[in-house]
Amino acid sequence: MSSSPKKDGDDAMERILRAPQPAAVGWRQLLEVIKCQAWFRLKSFYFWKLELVLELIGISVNVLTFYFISILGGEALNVSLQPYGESYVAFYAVGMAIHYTIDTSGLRKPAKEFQRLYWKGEVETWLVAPAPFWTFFIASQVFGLIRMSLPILGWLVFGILLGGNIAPSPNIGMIILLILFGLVATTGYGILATSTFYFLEAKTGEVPLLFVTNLLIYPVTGLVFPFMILPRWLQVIGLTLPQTYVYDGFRRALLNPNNYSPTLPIHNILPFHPILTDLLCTVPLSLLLLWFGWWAFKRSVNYAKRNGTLTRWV
Amino acid sequence: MNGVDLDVKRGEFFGLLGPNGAGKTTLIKVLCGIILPDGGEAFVNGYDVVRERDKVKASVSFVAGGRWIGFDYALSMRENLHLFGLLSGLSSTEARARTRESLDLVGLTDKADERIETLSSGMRQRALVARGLVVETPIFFLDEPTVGIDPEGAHEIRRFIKEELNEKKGQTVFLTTHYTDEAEMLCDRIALINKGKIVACGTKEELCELIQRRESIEVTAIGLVNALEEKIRSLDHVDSLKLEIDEPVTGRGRIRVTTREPEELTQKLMTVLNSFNVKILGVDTSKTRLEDVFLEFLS
Repeated sequence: MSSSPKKDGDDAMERILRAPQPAAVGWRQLLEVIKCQAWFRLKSFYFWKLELVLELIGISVNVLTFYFISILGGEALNVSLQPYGESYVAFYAVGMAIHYTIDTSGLRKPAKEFQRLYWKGEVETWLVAPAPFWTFFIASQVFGLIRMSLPILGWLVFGILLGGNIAPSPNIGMIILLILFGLVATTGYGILATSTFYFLEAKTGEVPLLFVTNLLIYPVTGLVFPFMILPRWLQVIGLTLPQTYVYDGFRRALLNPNNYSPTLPIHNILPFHPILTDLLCTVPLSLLLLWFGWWAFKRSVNYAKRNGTLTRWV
Repeated sequence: MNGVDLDVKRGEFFGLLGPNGAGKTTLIKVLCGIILPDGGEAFVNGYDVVRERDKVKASVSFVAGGRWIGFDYALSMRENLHLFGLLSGLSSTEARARTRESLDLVGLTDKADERIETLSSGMRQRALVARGLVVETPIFFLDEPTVGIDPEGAHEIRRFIKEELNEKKGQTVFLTTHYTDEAEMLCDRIALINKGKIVACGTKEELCELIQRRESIEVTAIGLVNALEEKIRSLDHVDSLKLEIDEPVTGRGRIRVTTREPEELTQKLMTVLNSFNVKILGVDTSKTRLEDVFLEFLS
């Protein structure tokens, strides 16, 4: 049976009139959303004091371990790290500081925060409200950075205490740009990883794409040892990851900014200062990853909308 | 969903009535842009739900029902509503003021600073309604808004939606429910939905007219058992049947049937009930109600 009886009406005219107009969401509101969301996330993070203390203890023990490894390696190890300031402990700790900045708080946050959002039944709230969904990802990153700021500082402080001083005049501008584009790159990759939530039904536990990246970061990006000691085929893989350039540039800009010695194969190809070369390689990778990540995420949401699996409650 | 063809006029209070699993929530989610249809077209406030999703989102408020949807359990009700106001484009000051007003309207001001997880399910449902009120949009989608709320609270929410939103502010209200009384009380027009299809649509009077020639017989009794359902259904002239047992121990409850032959069926019904040793407390014959239409079309 069809939907009869119906009243006659002017439905076509109603459509054409398109009134009243919905209110638009402006930039000020979006900033408010990001601020409010980040603040609320911090506020609801109950065990942060205890967790922070445990984390700082862990970092100090970790740096101390690598301090003893550096003693085992002897003076030759430190000399081999001359472009990074001739201290393996500083090399390691500063590397971990930037790793925490762009990976722990950048790379992992989108997928983990989206999982949280889904299981708490909040996806609908964000998708029904007019604010664009990317504000959620930015808010997550802001929260992540605030949350990780003390551990990052912990790595730097313990690294300096056991490994020696940073350069007298570090290249602050490059440091800021490398962190910024490093975060853009890892956020882009993190959003790309989030798309597997729907595409691969990866709704709990490890996120498949993050697992792959986490597996690669330690052996191929030069996080715990200099990149040049890797065999050529691993170097090729490492050069496709933005982390390789960000780790290298950040260390050099903080520990020994005036050194010109190449530390990545690309430094022998491009005629710029190695730190600038690192930045020039990071920027296109970061923009590409951000674009691709957002594109894939939107596709995954549409895929879920068509399948009726978008929200926890159908 | 298949065979859904509906027009809702501006300012109308429209009801979508159907049993569990009929497709009510799916339809409302399609109209809110949460589910994409794989065919057909739908317009909300004149905007295409597929191509103009942002404009559709800005045109509607969506109040989900009966579940834990859309709240951060670690935040207070005030904080949740405030955040939703910001997400909907209000300034911080506006969001704060609207949050206060909304909580006041649903009678939750004194619980405003309590965390959502500490509230009863009825209060959470009221909070969902309050969230829908934070932003004034031309269209209000309500998905079973009174599920899990006590009678007094449900009455107050119904009154508020009808009088304040629909009649005073002229907002278009699209309500899904499986309570026939609620639909009858509130809606200007009602669509009956079953298995993803609209089976009838019109005002209450128009719907009742569709089965006008029938009357309904309601028997209140003690000693009712589920086995009666099959026996009564097999009788001639039974168009629809509803057996409700309120007290399983005593079998106290009621039987409601619709028929074109009330006199003949009443006699047969009494014979069946006597054979099951049912003690009859009362028999009432009445004209068709919306519930009868509901049962007729869905059976």
